[in-house]
Amino acid sequence: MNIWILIFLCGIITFTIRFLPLSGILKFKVSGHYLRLIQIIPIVVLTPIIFQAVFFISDNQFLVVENSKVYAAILSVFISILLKNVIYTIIIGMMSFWIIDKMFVI
Amino acid sequence: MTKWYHFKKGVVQELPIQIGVFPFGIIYGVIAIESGLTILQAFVMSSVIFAGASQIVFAKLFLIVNPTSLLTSITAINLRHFLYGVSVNEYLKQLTLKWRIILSYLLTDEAYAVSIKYFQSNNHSDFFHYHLLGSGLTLFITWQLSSLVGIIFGEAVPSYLNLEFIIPLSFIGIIIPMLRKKHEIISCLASGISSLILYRLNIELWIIFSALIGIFLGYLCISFGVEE
Repeated sequence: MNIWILIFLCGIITFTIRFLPLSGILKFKVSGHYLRLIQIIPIVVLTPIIFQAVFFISDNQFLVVENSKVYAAILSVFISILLKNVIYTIIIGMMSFWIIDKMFVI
Repeated sequence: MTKWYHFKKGVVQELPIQIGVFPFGIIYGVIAIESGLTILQAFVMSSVIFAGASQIVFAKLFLIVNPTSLLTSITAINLRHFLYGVSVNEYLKQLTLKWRIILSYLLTDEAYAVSIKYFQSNNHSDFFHYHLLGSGLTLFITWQLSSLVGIIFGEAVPSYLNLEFIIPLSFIGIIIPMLRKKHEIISCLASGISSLILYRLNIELWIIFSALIGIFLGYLCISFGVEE
């Protein structure tokens, strides 16, 4: 499919998802099971992207022990639990990644 | 309080978050160009989609998965915005269609986070929508500028810095505070571990299937009362 068409389709999808609940077209009360399941969607969609980016290096190679991203990611998880701040998580995660990566090279 | 008071509040309260948004936009620009998009496509995408995570996923996936998988992934990633709309709508009942269209377009993670907090902690006003307009426009301007910087000057960023690692780190920073209950942690781990297997097996819809596994386990936990 043409890239331009894909971009505009993604734009339409994104806008529609945001617009539907604000439009007043849908009249519903979100509650119980449904709400709790909807709330975990960002978690279950973004976690696979994190795992793939952390555990796979180039050429689809799965790597754990000698993978500096794994250690930096674990540290970032702790930082996020402690500070609950995206910016600190990114800064400390990246700095630890660079340091650990240097250690592996040496 | 006037509409301009709410608007200025939205802008001012949104500004500190831009420290994190700007590098994220640069990263998007770099990844978009590296993945093979043209400068025009990469830049137009920032206005047409205007959703950081979705744009990055688009740039990373459009060459390696089929269009259906890509569109499904974008839909799945953006579903959280539906919830944002539901909760914001409680405070914006009397708006015209024009306002609803504008605010829907501007309803991003960062704008929502700032504005919903403002709505909840202030007495109701008929001009609340100006706050979301202020926060949303601030984010829009930062996102367009930072994307452009990444697109144009992205090559100047040394590849050994591995700046693309900022993306999983930022997702960690977003997701970890969301994990407050057992079923959320179980769903998170289930989707993550299953994604490793499915990706290794070259399953094309690996994100969707692993998300469904996570949702299914979450459903089981809720059904059996394993939540707190």
